[in-house]
Amino acid sequence: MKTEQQLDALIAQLAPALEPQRDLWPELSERLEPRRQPAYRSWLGVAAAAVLTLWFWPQQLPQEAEIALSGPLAGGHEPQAETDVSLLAVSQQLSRQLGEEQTRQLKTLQQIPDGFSDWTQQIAIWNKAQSQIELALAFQPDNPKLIQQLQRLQQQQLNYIAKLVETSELT
Amino acid sequence: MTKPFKLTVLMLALLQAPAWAAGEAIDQSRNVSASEKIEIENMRGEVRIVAVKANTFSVKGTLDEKAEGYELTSANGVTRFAVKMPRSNFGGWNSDKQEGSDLTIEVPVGSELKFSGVNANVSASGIEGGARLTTVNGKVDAEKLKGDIALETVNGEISSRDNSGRIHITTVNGQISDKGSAGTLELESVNGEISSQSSAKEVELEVVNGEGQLDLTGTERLEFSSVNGEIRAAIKNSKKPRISASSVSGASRLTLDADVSARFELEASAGGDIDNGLTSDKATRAKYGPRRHLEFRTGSGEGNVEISTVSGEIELKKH
Repeated sequence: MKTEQQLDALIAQLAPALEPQRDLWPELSERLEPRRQPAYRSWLGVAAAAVLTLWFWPQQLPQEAEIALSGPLAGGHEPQAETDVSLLAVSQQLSRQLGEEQTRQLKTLQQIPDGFSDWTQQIAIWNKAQSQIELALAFQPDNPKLIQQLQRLQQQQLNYIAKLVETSELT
Repeated sequence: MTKPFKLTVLMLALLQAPAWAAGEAIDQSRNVSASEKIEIENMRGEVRIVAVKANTFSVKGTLDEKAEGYELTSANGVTRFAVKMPRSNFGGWNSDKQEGSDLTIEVPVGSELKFSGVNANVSASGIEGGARLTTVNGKVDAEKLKGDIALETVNGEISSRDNSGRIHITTVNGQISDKGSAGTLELESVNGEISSQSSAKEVELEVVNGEGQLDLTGTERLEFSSVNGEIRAAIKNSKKPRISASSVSGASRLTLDADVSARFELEASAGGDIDNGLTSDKATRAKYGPRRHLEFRTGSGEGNVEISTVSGEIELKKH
């Protein structure tokens, strides 16, 4: 019987990474059934991603800003700035997709309730305000207050639409 | 019968139509607990809810002429009264409230009230176990309520007087008028105007296009925000307030005690203006970009005031 030390020595002789002799994926993929998703899943996915992005993003920013500031090299700021900018871009893209989907769904409502007849104008006001904040973010991409404002506008818009739909069902 | 006589009879009959159309009379009461949970549902008309010292629930008046009866149940500390309506639309805004129910409801002082309506005006007073009054097209009038209080309408005025507790008032297009509130206060409107004279310790106000006017006494924490609207907030007897405000293109105007002790941070991100009437400190403009910024301290800086705008105005004044 080999001792534990001998077994350890044999294990140490093995290659650190073992790979199969051939590509197994084609056979596996053939055995997998195609996944079908209802159409609304994509819309829910976009909404969930937008909410999660907007929810977590401002909480991460102060830490990221601290890390960037404590970096030893001035050049170290650039990748962080790129990350912020890309996060912003993703967030804006998701927000737009969400907004377009909301607008599309609202247009399918049979009857717009009293008090919401100018809903398109109202949405336009929020969109314009969001554009103004995005413009300011172009100068200060890591300004948490601006990002919070953007988040608030998004939330207001969602609340307004929820209220419109709720009122439509009641009246 | 002559033709003119027939016409006269017909016209008189038509004039009397609303009386014929008046709903079924109701006069019911139940013994309930002092802290009863009371749920009332009435889609159209006028409902007045008043608190009484007796442990009884009573409802008097006339039901909606289109009502299909009513439901009144009372068990295990919960009393529920609902005017049953056919499942159809309830008319539009400005529809004649006289078409609906006309009810006066009495509930125990310590009860917890929940009212919901659609084209209904509702008033409630003296209830101390909390109240939630919700309608869509109609007025909400709340007086001397205590506890968790929620007042909500879409189109219509909300009047709040001498309420205390955790108060949340929200509308889409209506006007909010609050006087004498205490505790914590949240006010929200999309397009409506908001005015409040309050001694609440914590106040939050949010408008999109509407305007806000806050006259506060002793408020320790204040948050307000607008998109395009203008908000004026004046606080007295608050030496070290914690204030946070923001707008996009709207104006934030704040008036504080002359001897306030706080650290101030004001920022206009893209073209906004900062007007400091509290001290002689002036905003500085960023070397690159349109940002303006102002930081200063008064007294020993115990409180904290942060106001930001994108392209709107920030104004500080002292009493």
